[in-house]
Amino acid sequence: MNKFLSILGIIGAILGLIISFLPISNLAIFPAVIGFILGLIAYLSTKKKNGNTSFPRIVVLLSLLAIIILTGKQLLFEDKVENDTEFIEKTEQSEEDAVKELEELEEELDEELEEIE
Amino acid sequence: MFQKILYISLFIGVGLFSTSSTSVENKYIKSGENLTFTASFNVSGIMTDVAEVKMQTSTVKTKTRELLRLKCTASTYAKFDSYFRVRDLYESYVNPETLIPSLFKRNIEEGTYKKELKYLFKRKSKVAISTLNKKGRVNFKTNVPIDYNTMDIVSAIYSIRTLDFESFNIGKRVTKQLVVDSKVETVTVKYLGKEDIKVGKYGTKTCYKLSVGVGAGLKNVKGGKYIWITADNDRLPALIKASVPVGNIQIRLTNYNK
Repeated sequence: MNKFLSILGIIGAILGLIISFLPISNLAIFPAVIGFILGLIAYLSTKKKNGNTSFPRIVVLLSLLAIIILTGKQLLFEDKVENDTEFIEKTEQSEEDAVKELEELEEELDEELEEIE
Repeated sequence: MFQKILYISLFIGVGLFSTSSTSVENKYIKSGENLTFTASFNVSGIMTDVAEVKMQTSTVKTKTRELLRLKCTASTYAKFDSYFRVRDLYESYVNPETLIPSLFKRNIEEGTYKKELKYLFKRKSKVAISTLNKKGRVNFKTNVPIDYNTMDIVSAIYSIRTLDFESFNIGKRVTKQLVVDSKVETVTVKYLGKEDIKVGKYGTKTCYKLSVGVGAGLKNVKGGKYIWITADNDRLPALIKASVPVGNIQIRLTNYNK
């Protein structure tokens, strides 16, 4: 039973670790916490029976590592948009093009606006 | 998904504006306004911030006119750029007093997908000339029949902010026509009353709550689509929530200056 819990726990811990490195790192909380809880149960149960606790301990440590990584990312790194000069230039160019298009149609625009106003 | 996020935010905004066939009187939207939003997607019950949405206004001068440029951009946060980079630009060039658009431009870049769309509103001829550029279609033109008050998605979202909500009874519905994907769509907006909403660092603000749906009624709307607009002279779109088949989208105001 403890082995089974530990195996489930290590799957959760590894999943948590992998996800904690992705942009959606906050989702790592689910597998990491599950891994931690299962690992802890397996550890305490194995310890009670004086068994070998190294595997459950690894599960607990890996889960904790995933939780620390995702918490650190949340606290230390702010979401930012890259300073994209290409995009900025594109928006400026778009405005210039728009003005030309509007001016080309100015006569028609005049009539339209007069009617609207 | 990102296109959906911006579109939902814009679309939700869109519905509310003009309650009748007359033009709105713009008392709230001025040049120099900068609004910044964070777009989040709900995955497994956890909100994940995915993109920044900006809405900016500026004055544009042609040879004889002064127009208001309404610009909306959506950009994914840097951490997502390696996986799925989004740089969307939506612009509307409108009459500053009525917010009636003369030109609408949409330029989207989502991953490897690129598309440009332009509507030139010729109100005298009651037609909007739509020009589409995307893979497989270059300068594909379509004439879209419009009336004097047909708007685009960007001018519409700004227009909703100018409605006289104080005179609305709860449950009041407003419909508006706008050009979306080279077709005229009717958007219905329902006023749901006032609610207090936390607006980031600006604290709690009293807002007008509205639900928005595409079509003449709200019956066919899947999931809820709601917008909260501050009940003050700024009329800021403080929060947008929408349900989509794969989760929930939330767009919240994080910063503004006027």
